Amino acid sequence: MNKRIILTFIVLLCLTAVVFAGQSSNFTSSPEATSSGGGNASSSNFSSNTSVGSVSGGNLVSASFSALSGFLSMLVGADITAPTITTVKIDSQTVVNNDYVKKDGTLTAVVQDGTGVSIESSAMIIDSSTTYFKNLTSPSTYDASTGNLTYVLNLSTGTHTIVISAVDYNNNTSTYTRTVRVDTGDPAAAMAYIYPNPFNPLNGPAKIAYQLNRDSDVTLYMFNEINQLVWKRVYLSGVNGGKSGYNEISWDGNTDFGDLAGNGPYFLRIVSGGKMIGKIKIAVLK
Amino acid sequence: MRQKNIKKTLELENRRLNASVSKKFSGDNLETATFSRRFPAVLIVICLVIVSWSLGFVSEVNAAALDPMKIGIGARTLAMGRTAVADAGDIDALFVNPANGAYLKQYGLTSMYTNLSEDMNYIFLGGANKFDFGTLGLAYLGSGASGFQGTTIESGRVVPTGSAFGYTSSVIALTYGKEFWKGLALGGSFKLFNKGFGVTNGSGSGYDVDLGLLWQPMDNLTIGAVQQNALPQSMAAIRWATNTAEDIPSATKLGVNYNPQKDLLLAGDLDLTSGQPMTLHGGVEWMAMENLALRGGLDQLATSSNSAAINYSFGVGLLYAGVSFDYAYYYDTTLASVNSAHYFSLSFVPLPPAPKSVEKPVPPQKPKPAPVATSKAVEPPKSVLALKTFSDVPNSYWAYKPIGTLGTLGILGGYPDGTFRPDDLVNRGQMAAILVRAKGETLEKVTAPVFSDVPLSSWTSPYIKKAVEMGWVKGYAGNKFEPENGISRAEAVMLLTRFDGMALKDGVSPFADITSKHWAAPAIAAAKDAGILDYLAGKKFEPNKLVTRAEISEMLSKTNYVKTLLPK
Repeated sequence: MNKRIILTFIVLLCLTAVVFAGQSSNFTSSPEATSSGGGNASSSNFSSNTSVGSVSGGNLVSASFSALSGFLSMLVGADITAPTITTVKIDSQTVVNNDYVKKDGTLTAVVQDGTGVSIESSAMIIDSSTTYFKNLTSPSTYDASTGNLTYVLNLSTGTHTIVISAVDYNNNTSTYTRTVRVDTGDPAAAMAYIYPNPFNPLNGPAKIAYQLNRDSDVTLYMFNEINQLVWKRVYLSGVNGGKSGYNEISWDGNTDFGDLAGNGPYFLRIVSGGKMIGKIKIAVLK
Repeated sequence: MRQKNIKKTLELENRRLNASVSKKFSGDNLETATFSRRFPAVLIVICLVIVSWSLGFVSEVNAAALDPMKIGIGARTLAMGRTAVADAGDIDALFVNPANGAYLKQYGLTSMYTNLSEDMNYIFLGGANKFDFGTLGLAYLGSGASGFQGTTIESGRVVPTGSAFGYTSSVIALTYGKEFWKGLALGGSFKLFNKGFGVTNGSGSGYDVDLGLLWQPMDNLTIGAVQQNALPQSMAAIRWATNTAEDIPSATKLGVNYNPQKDLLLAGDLDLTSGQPMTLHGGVEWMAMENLALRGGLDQLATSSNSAAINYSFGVGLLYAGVSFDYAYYYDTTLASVNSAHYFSLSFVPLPPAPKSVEKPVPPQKPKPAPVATSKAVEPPKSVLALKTFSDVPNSYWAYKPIGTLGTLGILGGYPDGTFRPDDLVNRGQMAAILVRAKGETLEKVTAPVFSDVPLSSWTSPYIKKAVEMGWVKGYAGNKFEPENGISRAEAVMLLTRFDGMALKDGVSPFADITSKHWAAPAIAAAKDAGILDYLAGKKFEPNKLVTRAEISEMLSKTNYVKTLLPK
């Protein structure tokens, strides 16, 4: 009889742990970061930092294990919540993998934890070089009271991996990882598109998006099908339209002739230094 | 060598005649251009401009559709700053201003290809033929582009979907042009548009019309006007499968072509398009060599509602046997490294001569027995001379009287349709026939070719044989006569002096451009003294200019022989 009661209690305990697993992942994970459970009751970090730019979650087994661990930790009053890493930007721009960034761009983020972020364990990891928060020197700083992290990059030309590793005092860990590119060569544009395409101006403006490898003065020329200029905009280096990384311009479909672009093809030229560095073929269809 | 030059000159002349107003430059009397002749045309031009502007203002400019033919038609016109409004008879320009087609000599075929910025391919095919009721032209302009990338939004970013689509466009144009009054031609084009993207409901079609006129107030000046896409949106628009309709904005174009000298053409166009600033286009064509034309131009292209860029163009034309290859390089100053473009054209406009029936006047008037003065001359009319008339030679025409005189005498008749075609060129074989017929010489059967290039089967063979026997014409080296080659003014005068038995005058420079050392100077001086060249008083002689039927009529009518045929 006692054995049955004990067995039933264990089963209920496990089921309860599974339920807690979902809730735990919801409130402990940052949408930009990967977190791993820790806490005093469990010193091992089972969630590795190998997922690049992924959202936390994990499979059911690991989640269940995490939840069970957390539940057990709760039973004993332990901290199982990993730090959050939010609003990560470089030069005020959200970054996705393979984005171009400036070699001396400034990374900002908010790294917080309910029980405090360990500046001894948390670090910025650029490729294989680790700088703990406690060792950050101005202008790179981490303000433990607000969670604001500022880190001035010093990257060479090429591809780099940037990792923010946030650890609290209970050894719960979150990571944020991005692969970025630095190019100091001649201006170039990549991943140039317009959304939507075909574009119906009557349904609202379109987004003209492109990546620049570096800050550059950029002029956008739009020509119609007989190579007649119908729209032109100039963007200075370093601001939206002319900054390294992702640029997004809005076009309402009006031409510089004061009327709505007629149905037909339009050819957007992204020009810097007199050279075309990218182009987009636009279909206007109302 | 000279023989070759004449042949080349004929080719050039043909092209030039088809492409400009220079055909009139050879000898028309400027004095015939009176104010009364010009006034109606001035009114029409003014009315057309007014109407066009009113239509333009009516046109819906929002979401205006583009007429792909605005790209320009023909590498020749593009090399000349996209000027084509007043290019009388040019096989390309008649698709810009249909009135230009009225002056096409016979027929022509043309084509053009370009690739704009490695994105848009254009191909143009056109042809036109001159009928009795006017000139009809048919053209196709096709264009297309691929690689329009579909996109979506992921994580706040614009990203490709992986699917792409293309775009195609076509214009089919049917043109008509006719000279309704002397010096004034009207024309119209009907254009059918089809456009489409390779997506659902991505296609549209529509139509519109162009209306044009061409006015030749002076021999070396042509003025044109065309109202492109003249119909308002209520009557014509491009209707899309998405249930939208877009107007094709009206554009008024005015153009002037001027030949300051025979190997130079200056052209200028003015473009008035709704919602755009007025733009100007200018071009020059210089016949640097007999088979080589050099061209240049400035082309203004509107870049916004209140600004325009000035672009440059230049090109060359190679001409041979009626075939011309034209190339244009268009330098786009807005974005030269990307938008500058190459244009290529291949066209064919057949050379004269006119059909052999040219020397078979209707009604046929066989030469009469010779008058008393000469046993071989045509008998003069006994009564007061009533001049024969032709439908295309109004009494205001500068050579109306001599044409009528020769027609009446049966020396140089007209065509079965009642026309005389005074501006058609005369070739060497025809000239021999004219002279022989004028004298009423009896033809003999030719049993052996007189010249190696005059076959027995040729209708001109007996005439040439007789003209040689009479000592009026001579062949070229190698026993050649080149009967199909046009006859130059110097050659014609030489033949007429022999025909009329004039005494040559040595050591005289009869015209500013004819020194006493010119090979034909003695004959020209004699002809001038005889009054045969009165119509060139105060002008240059231009010895290599090919002569027209009107000019031959004028000169021949002034010979002593023809004068003897006229009633006293």
